[in-house]
Amino acid sequence: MSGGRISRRQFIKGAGGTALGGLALGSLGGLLAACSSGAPAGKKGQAGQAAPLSRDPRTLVVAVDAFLPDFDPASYFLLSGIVTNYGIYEGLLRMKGNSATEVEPVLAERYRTNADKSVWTFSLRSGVKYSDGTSFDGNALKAAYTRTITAGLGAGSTLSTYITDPGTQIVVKDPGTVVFDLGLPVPRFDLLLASQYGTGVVNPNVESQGKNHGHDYLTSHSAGTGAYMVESVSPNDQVVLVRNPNYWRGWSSRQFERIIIRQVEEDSSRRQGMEAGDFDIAFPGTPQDTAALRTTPGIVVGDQKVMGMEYVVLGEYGPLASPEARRAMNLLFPHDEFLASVMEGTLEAPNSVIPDLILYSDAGSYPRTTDVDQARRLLQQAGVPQGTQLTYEYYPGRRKEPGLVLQQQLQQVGLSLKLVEKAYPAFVADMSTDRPESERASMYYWFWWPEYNSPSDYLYPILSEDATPKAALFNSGYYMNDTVNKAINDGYTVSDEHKLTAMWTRAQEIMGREDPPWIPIGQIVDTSYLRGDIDGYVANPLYVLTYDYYALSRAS
Amino acid sequence: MGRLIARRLAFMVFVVWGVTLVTFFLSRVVPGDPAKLLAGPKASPTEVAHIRRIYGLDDPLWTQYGRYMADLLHGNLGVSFVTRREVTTDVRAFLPATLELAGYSLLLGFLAALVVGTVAGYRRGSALDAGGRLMAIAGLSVPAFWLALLLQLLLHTRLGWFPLGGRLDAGVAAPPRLTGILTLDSLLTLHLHAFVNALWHLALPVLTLAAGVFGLMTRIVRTSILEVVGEDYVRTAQGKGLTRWRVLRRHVLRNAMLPAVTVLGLEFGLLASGVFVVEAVFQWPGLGNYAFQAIQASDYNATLGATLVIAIAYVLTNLVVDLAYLYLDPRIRYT
Repeated sequence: MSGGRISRRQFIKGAGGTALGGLALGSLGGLLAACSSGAPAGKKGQAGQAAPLSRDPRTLVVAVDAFLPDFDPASYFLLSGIVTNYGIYEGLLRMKGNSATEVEPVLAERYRTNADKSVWTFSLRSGVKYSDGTSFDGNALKAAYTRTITAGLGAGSTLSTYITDPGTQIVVKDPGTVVFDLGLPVPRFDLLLASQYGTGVVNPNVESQGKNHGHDYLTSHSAGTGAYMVESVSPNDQVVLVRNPNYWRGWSSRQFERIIIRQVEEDSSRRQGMEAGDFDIAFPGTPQDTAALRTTPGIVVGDQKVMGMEYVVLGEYGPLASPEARRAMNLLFPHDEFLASVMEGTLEAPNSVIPDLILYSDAGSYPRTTDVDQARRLLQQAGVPQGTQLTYEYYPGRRKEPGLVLQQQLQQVGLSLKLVEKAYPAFVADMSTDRPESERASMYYWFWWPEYNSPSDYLYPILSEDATPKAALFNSGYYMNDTVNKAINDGYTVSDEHKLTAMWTRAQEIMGREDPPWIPIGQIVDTSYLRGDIDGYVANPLYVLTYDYYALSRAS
Repeated sequence: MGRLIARRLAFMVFVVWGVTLVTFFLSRVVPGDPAKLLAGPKASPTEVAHIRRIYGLDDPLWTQYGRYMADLLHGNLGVSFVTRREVTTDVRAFLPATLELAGYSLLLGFLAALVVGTVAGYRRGSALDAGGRLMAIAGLSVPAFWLALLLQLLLHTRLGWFPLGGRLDAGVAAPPRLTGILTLDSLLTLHLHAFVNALWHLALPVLTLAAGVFGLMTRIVRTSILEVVGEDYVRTAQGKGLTRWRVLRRHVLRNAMLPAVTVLGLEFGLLASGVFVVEAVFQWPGLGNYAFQAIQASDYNATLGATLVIAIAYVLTNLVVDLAYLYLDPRIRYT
């Protein structure tokens, strides 16, 4: 300023600086206001209604955390494979509605069994075609199941539980009738056939399509009898399914014409996509995401308890070798507080060491009690000295929280807990590779659900004495209990209902009260997110995070 | 120049060999069994062993390495356990998406840095200089992951201005594939709707990555401008009566670009690490996300393939930078 006057340059500089500053402050204010508002402003629908749909209403968009480009029923065995294939492949039977014990026919019209339930005869539905137009019949079924059992691609274990020689055990009496001769009584073979794992029927013509029994062809093509078929696959991006024009149930205008399954790894992105109307269905995210979406207008959150359980594996070695020490760990875990405050309704309290909906589950066999004093006494009895350090191993994104809670609780009894996070491949390797005791964690976070509704099927890979890491399986705590082990093995072959009930009641009593293999944290609840205008969704407790696309429609 | 290029390409062979050696053995040393992960936790040990045999994972390590190198010499990068496709197919599918993302991010970040850094350097000590430096620090300091989520939350979920992720809307048909770079392909094939939609989808991930580029480049450009502006020849040019714009364009910028171009080459390496995160958040089906999935799944072939591609791209980028020097400064000659 010279002579009391402001030069033009000074005025412009000052005005420019003020304008810039004002713009920055205004932007910051807008940013803070927008972030703190409770609902999406740009695409908010009316109260109770979903965000307006700005895409083709005849296309269903499903957001999952991952999918595998694997359309081979003899191979896919992870949830990331099931989610795409449930609409493509069918089996003889499936679970009915939301029942855990009733089945309904699909590719079979009806079935019967002999007196001791060792021979099962299926009358096949006529007029069923694969997506390429070739007909499904008994010979195709036998070929498909033989392929699944013998190709060794990963999904053969379900059928091979009872069918070890498909050439002689699967008999095609005529193109419309197939007999399964299991060689021993299997009272609920129907439940096994309703499994999602390894029972899908693929077109046997795939064998001529390429290497590995046509498996390579099925990484980018499908060949099922189901309602949908693969149109395009973009790994790590999306799969597009379109209607199978030959589908035996036929089509109406209500069903979706296309299904787009998108890979959206981030929990927050799936939540935001649901809020903004980008997705019709999404895999659940964190408990906090789920809690927020429960109160979001136009979004429905699932609430189906499934046959799955989360738990903390307790190693039967080192400081936790004795049953008393492992009982103490169970007494230290505050289930009800943890489920209410941390899991916010996404897990249900355990009533047994196996999920409630598994056959012969004995609710009440697990005393969900927190008693620090009793835990202290048990640890003294077990001879675990004060100052002992235990380790809790988990993998990113999954359940550090139980470890944190146990860490606090263990301090009260003079023990410490080291939390060890490992990348998923290393974590799985730790759980399923035999190592000296000094290299094993004391506890592992894990979760499990069965291939079909059977306590033996549920428990064998995670508790059988034949399923320790020595066999590269998941009895990672090296649990050894003769009575429980006998129950697991006998459960495959015993057919007497009273014997089974007594056997499993006793086994759960042991696992819940006397010699616990783990701390059951909670039963998994399927909290899938759905747009409010999606009709027809019925969650089944066996088909975790799986959607029957043919049954879904959009409310007009 | 021909000799420079030939030398660099020969050098690249050693780089590729070194990368394969280190990555191959490191990936196998890290705990994890891809056969088990592929088969799932319910597969029998027999089935896991069978899968291991299919992918040759039960051979001795040196045998596996020898087989890999023999295949590599024939342009075969093996099969990905996750995508179940040849890794070369995956690279062809995913690389263009990453090149598109990285290219626009570098361009936007660099251009913005050029403008802001020049203004800040010319207006040293002013409010504009302070504002430019503040923006540069913000761009450098803000983690890409946080910025990505914030932009998604604000500009998609709250305001609805931009899409959540992906490369195109579900209802928009992709243009015929010529290069795999959607904006380029749609322009070349006159699919303007797809072009606009692709640009719209690029906005948020490009903004996220460009912020980091902008932050570093602004500071470099500003410092260079300050150095050059103080040179005698610039004062001479100003004294001769040349306009400020002419002085800037013909005397200042060209000389100030050398350090910026050097850093641009290095910036590519930094961008490669940012791309991993941004592609995951925005569901961008690029090489970064592919490599991330591969590492998580102990997918050896895919991990190696992606690492090789990034290493080769890094060497080529720095070759381009060195060639750019020759244009920017005629005094520079490579022996």
